[in-house]
Amino acid sequence: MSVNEITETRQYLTFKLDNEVFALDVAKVREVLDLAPITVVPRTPDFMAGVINLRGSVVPVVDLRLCFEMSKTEKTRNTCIVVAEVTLENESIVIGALADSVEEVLELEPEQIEPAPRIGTQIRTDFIRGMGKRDAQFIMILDIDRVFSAEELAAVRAQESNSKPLVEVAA
Amino acid sequence: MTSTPVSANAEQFKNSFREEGREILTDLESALLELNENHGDSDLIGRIFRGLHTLKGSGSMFGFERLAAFTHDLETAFDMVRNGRLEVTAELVDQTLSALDQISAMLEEDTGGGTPADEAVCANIISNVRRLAGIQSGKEPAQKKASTPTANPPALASGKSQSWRIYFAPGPDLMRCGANPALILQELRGLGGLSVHAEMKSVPPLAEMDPERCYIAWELVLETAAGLDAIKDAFIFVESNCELAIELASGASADKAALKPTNKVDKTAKVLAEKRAQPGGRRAYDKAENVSSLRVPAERLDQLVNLVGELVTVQARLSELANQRDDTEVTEVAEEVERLTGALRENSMNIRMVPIRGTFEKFRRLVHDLSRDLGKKVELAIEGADTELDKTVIDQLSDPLMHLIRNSMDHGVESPETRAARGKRATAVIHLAARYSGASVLISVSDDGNGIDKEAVRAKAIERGLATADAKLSDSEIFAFIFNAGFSTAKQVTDVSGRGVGMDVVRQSIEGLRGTIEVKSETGAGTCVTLKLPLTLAIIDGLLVIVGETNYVLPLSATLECIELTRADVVANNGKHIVNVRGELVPYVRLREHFHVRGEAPAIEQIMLVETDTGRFGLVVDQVLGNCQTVIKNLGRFYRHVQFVSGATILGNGTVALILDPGRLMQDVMRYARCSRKIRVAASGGGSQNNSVVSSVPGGTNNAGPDAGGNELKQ
Repeated sequence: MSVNEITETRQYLTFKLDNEVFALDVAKVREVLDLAPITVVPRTPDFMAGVINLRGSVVPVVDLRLCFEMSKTEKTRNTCIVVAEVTLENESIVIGALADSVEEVLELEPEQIEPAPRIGTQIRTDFIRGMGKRDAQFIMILDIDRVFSAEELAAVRAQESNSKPLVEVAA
Repeated sequence: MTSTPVSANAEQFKNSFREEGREILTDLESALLELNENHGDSDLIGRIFRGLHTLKGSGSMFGFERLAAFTHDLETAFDMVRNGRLEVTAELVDQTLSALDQISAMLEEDTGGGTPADEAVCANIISNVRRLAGIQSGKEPAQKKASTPTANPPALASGKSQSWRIYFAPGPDLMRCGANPALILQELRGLGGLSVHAEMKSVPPLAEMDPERCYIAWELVLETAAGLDAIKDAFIFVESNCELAIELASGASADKAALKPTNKVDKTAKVLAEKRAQPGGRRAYDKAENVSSLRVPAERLDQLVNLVGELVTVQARLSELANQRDDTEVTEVAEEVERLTGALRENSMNIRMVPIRGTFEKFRRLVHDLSRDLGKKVELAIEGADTELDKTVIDQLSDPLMHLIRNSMDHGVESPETRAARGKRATAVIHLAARYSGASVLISVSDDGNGIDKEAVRAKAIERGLATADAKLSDSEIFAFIFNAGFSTAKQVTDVSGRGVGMDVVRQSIEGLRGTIEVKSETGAGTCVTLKLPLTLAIIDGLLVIVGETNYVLPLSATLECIELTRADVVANNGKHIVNVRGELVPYVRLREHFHVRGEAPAIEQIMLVETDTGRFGLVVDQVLGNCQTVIKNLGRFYRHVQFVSGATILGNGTVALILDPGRLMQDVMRYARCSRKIRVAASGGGSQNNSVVSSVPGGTNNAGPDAGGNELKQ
């Protein structure tokens, strides 16, 4: 979905990664959890933080900062897990995303949203649906489906190359 | 219910007929195959006739007119068989079997599944059946029916006409099941003169009337020469849902023998007469058989099992909290809950358990057809058909078993001439057996055929680069090659097998079910393939272990024993990852290293000795925490490429533990080791003592050969 398809007033959940403010369409967000113990699945790429127990279901958690080439998420009191419903190849799955802090639910008119700039953002522009304006600040509205389908691909690719040993083991 | 649109109701009836139809077809098929071996068995003939009759009757009732019309001639033929006017021949059985395929196709037509019935084939079958039964094709179905003795109208009957008194009171649900009493009366009229008296006394005032309920009972007097069976046939669909009494009104009769109260309906009638005498007596449709089984959609069961699974998790948490709290009252409640949850879990698991009979019986047909096509004489012997397995497991067993049987029939069993020359019985036997073994079920497919040609397999493995020419291979290693994708020693690809796909399918499905395969074969004496499967897929008996800060569950079925590993042991072994278990050298993998866990290992670690289909090896963990019975959760799409983790489970403290699949883990370790060896350019080739274990990877990646042995597992 591109910025042109945003034609009505919608609500967005804003959260911070590092000092950047990001937003997700609330229709995609299921809930926000406090940080729970995450079970790491060994031999997976770093951005796949692991799995958590969400009331009896096992839900994967992704470190969004690593997805966007920032440093690894430091766990603090404000760290949250944003649980989102993502559509991957017509299959709806629930994924948790680590966020440094969750801010608010914000209503944005279509005219408050501008297309993503070609350059000048830290993350891949095709991950951004649009730039929302709040006061003087810009908020990156994420196309979460696209982020995850790209990351899923990356994970599979990583698995293929995972067989390549690390130097320390080869020594 | 009343608000449901009619069309939805009709669809519901159709679906329930489909379900019933499928069951009848399966039953018919096995009855036919049995009949083929014993042509004179009147019980079987009766069973087949009833099945066909039900198919036809219910079929036309629910709008499967084509199916009903098609079944009609078959029914006529078997009616003649029943009355001794037609001999059972192999041809009749064959024609009926192929007719069943068409019926099955007609049954599934609307669902969009399967191939549609073939008009030409149907017409062909019908004309064959008509020829066999001597039915003239020009006649109208009604006339044909009239020509059978059971349906003789009194005027044409050679026998004496008798009058029968029939009391018929439909149960309240009769019309909801789609039965129409008017049609039954119609059918009775076809048998002879019928006088009908309707009993209206239980019809309520209009305001209280349920339009879907039948309130009327009938007293009928039928003048007919037809026997009791023919009359009862009219009630065949409603028998279980009504009060029915049939008695002879006129005194002396030739048919008296049929009146003996040995028959269920007659018994019911007798009981009824007594029951009706006392007010408030139970009605016939309340009889125990009706409540003894229920048809429940599989999803509902899955839901139940899921809920129970979650309950088990919560209960584990409750127990843990209660233990911490040191409050006897709480502990008491927690223990009670634990006991109940255990019972509930066992019960709900048992609901999903179904006997494997249905799956096994299905193969009679396959064997029958294949022996004809291949010109071989083969008999299928079934053993332990009552062994129960989880429905999901059974559903997924059909394909692998089919491939194994096809394989046995095509490659294993010799032609009758060869068998005779070898002094074997002309008829080969394929043995299909199931039995329990601990928490697993063993299913074996064995034949008394030629056995696997080890040299041919070996040669093919070398040709395909799976093994080196000088490799010493054990039998089980050689047999493991046949499960590789595209592996076939057949020189010719036939319809039946030879493409090398079948056994690969077998391996994949069985691995998917967390099972293992064992092959035994003796040249000239036969082959036996044994599948070892878990009883259920939803719950796993495991050992909880800890590596670093993460908990893992190892399936108990794969673990053999637990050995201590001290630092001194490691030093004594010169850093080689091999442990001596009562004289056997077993390689081990340190999970800390393989999983890149940071931090120092404890001074004493534990080696969990596990058995996989690629051999024995050890997994080194920090600590073994104990037994656990856990509900398996899917890790989901995001982690689907992590093959050595077969699922996850939620522990008592609410955290997630990963369930390891030792076989896949071993493959992962070896893939990794191979790659790292390529980097070590000057790696030494020594250390062959663990060759045997590493070389037996054929189940794994295709290029895993015995030459990949060496010091893979060393650091």
